[in-house]
Amino acid sequence: MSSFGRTFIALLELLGQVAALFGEALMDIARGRIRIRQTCRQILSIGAGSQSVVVVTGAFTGAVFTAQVYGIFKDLQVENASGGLVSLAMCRELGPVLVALMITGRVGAAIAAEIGTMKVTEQIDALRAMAVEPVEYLVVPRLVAMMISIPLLIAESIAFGILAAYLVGVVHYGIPEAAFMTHVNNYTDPADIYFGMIKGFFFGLIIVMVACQRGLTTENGAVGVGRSTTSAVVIASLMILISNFFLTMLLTPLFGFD
Amino acid sequence: MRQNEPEPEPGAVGRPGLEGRLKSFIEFDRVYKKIGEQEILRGVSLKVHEGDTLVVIGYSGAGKSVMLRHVLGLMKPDSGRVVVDGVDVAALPEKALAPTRRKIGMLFQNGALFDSMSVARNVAFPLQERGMLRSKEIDEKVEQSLELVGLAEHMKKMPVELSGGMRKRVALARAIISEPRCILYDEPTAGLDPVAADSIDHLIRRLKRKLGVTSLVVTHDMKSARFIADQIAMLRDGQIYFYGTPQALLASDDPVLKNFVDGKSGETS
Repeated sequence: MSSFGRTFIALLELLGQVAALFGEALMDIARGRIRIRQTCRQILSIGAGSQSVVVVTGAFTGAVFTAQVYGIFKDLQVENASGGLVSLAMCRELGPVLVALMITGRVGAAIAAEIGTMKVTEQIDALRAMAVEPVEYLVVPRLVAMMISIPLLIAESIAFGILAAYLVGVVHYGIPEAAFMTHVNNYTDPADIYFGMIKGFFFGLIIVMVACQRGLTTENGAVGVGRSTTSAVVIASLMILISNFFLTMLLTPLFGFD
Repeated sequence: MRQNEPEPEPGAVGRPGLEGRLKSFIEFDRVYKKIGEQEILRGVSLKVHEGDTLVVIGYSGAGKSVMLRHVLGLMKPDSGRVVVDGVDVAALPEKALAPTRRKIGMLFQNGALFDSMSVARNVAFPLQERGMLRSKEIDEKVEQSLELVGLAEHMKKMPVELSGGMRKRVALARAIISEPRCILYDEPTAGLDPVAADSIDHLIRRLKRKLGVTSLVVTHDMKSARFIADQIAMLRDGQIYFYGTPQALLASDDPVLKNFVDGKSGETS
């Protein structure tokens, strides 16, 4: 078999394992096996702990995109519409995708490393030996926390992106405030924000499930933890980028954007 | 060579009719286990009687820890039965193992303490997981368990602040806090200085005397084995090579046993 074939089969195998783990976690959630204290702790870690990352990502993406768009729109003599394009792009694509990629680096890596370390130091076996199910104890709280946190983080990032666009467009380039705001209002709907948040929800599932699966299957000590962490970030990032296309194709007609 | 290998007791495990010392708490019945291409266990049959301390000795990599992991269902045999208190754990799915696992405490080789929790929270963990909600009651039990292992004054520390011996003792406190009927020890004295190792040995004996638990200890520390064992089994080439009392082991003329007991490799320099 060619190396491409082997990679493809390995990828399918991995997706199957991630799906099986997700199914197990969903069953626990459906049975109400959600540890509230653990989940709150994870919300604090994922949500509150990601504030600076999300604010900086949103603000600087909005700022730099405004600067780029302004130059082109000025040539076309429609520079006042810069804010509209930036806000739309932040809501539908830049906000969810960039925040998800940043969260993959910050949270996904941490989850894979923490669970991976627990695996190689027999802490997962200790949980099992004490009749505690690792999926219920480790995966479910992280999954629920991510499902709650990431849509809000994305909304926050969008807000900071638009704010930064305002500062660059209105304060720096001198676009009239009324014109800027009118275009933002005309081109952006609450539906656009929901669109981004729904995408983010799915990206969050990908981040947690890939990171947990990588962590739980870690072997070979510290080297293995390093490999698991790297592969969690790479695989989740690629899956986010690929699924973003399919989610866009699926959600666009549903939201009536086409 | 096989000396004093335990006579099979067909259907003995878990059968209510068998009384006293003859009742087995753990039984390995022709257990085979292969990991990768390597055959680790090749038809192991062994019984641990209720209230006894059985020490399994053997060279590094002989499969001693693998045996322990089978008792808790952390590993499944390729064939054979592992019966714990009348339940064949090898035949049960993961989710059905909880009642059996709650009867057993395990001391892992490196303690396997939870890094993110303080000593007190680590020790309290099994009780919290069993739904003991009154924190005062939990606190009292944590203190008692830590006192038993001589670490009551360290309860607020994090595992990373402890030495290897202290970590093992905390892990032991965690293993015994829920008053299990059986404790599994994976290399309890490995990597410890002789004084710390002796302290752990005394602790194991004290626990047996105080709590009357069944113990299965895996070690290659002969001093420790002689001190704590009621029975000793030697695992070699995936099979039980010897089973008997510490006295019988010491009296044996078998060169393999003698070399192991005396710590001689047979090499010359």
